[in-house]
Amino acid sequence: MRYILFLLSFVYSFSGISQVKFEKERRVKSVEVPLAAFNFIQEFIPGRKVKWFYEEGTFGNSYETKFKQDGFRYSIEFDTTGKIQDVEIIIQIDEIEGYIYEKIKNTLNDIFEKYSIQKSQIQYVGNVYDLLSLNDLKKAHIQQLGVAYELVVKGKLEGKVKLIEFNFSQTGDLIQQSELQLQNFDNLEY
Amino acid sequence: MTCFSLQVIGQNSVGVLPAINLNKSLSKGYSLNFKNEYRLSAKDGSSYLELSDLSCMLGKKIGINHHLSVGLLSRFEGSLIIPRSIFQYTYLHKVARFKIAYRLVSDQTFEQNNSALFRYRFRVMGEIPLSGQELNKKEFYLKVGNEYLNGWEAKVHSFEIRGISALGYEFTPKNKLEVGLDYRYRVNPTSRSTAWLNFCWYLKF
Repeated sequence: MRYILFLLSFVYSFSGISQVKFEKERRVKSVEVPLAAFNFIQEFIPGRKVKWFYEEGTFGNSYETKFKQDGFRYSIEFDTTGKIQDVEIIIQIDEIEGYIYEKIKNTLNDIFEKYSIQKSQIQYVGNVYDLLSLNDLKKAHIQQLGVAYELVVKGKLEGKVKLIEFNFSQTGDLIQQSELQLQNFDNLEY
Repeated sequence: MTCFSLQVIGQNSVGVLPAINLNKSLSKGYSLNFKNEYRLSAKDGSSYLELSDLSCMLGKKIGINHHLSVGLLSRFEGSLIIPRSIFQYTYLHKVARFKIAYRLVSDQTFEQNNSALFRYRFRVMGEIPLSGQELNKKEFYLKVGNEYLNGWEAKVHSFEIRGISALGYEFTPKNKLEVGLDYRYRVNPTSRSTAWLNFCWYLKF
């Protein structure tokens, strides 16, 4: 299913269609989380209490936990059965390897008149054993894991400011883009 | 109105600030903002309408996160109508789950038989969703902020600090309601503290 969605989004991105991504999350108690997901986190960061979220989105529903470990912000996503989907870590855009970073920048420059990167994450996919090794990034089995980059970019496109989520491959190729709902700041401004 | 009475130690004034805030997006990054706010003060156990403000601002996005606005405010105080011109710059950004706005305002108030009042204000305001990492419709959020106001009227300097906190509810991203406390402490030229219970309804068209 995941591969079909990936393929669909790939086709979408190259046909120039930018679908609007819907996401809604709510806090859930750890007892509501599938056991496999709960056990993964117990092994990933033993003894730590984490916040759990149930996310409803365009590409299906999932459980997600977000926490900080060794100065890094992690976000780990599971499907509704508790099977791990990916481990994401927030990074600074310039932490991406030089030539990949340049490729991503060129893509964004081609799309936007001007832009500002709101969030950048490195995304790891793989088997449970290798994903568990990410709890210590110095010893992580990076070579065994699939890598992608997720960027949330606010930019000016055809005269309008838009918020777009981009997914780039390990080599910096654009694989998916989804428009997000622009935040309303009126109540903070006036 | 007595149910809204607030007790503040060393108080000078307490009351309620109900307001409605209307916003309209226009083409090419322009926007309009209308605000109507009432100041209902409490005195000797009863309340009275002290003043009301009606403002209209024209805004323009000048970058991805920057916003410039100019406008006019009319203050209705008894039989007086006091005009105020406003120039405002706002930097808006999002850090993790927090939405933050830094606002710089310069306003000029022209009152008959009084010297013009020039004020320079700086405000930091943040919004924190109370469920999840992002604010979604039908969810509560917390809004907290601080504002620092410097004013000059006939070479007399005034300085005021404001603390703003509110509990908000997002019916939809274009329809929000906030209820909160607005505490104002004037340091100069004479110290004075005021506390306001504010209600604001934000609508975007």
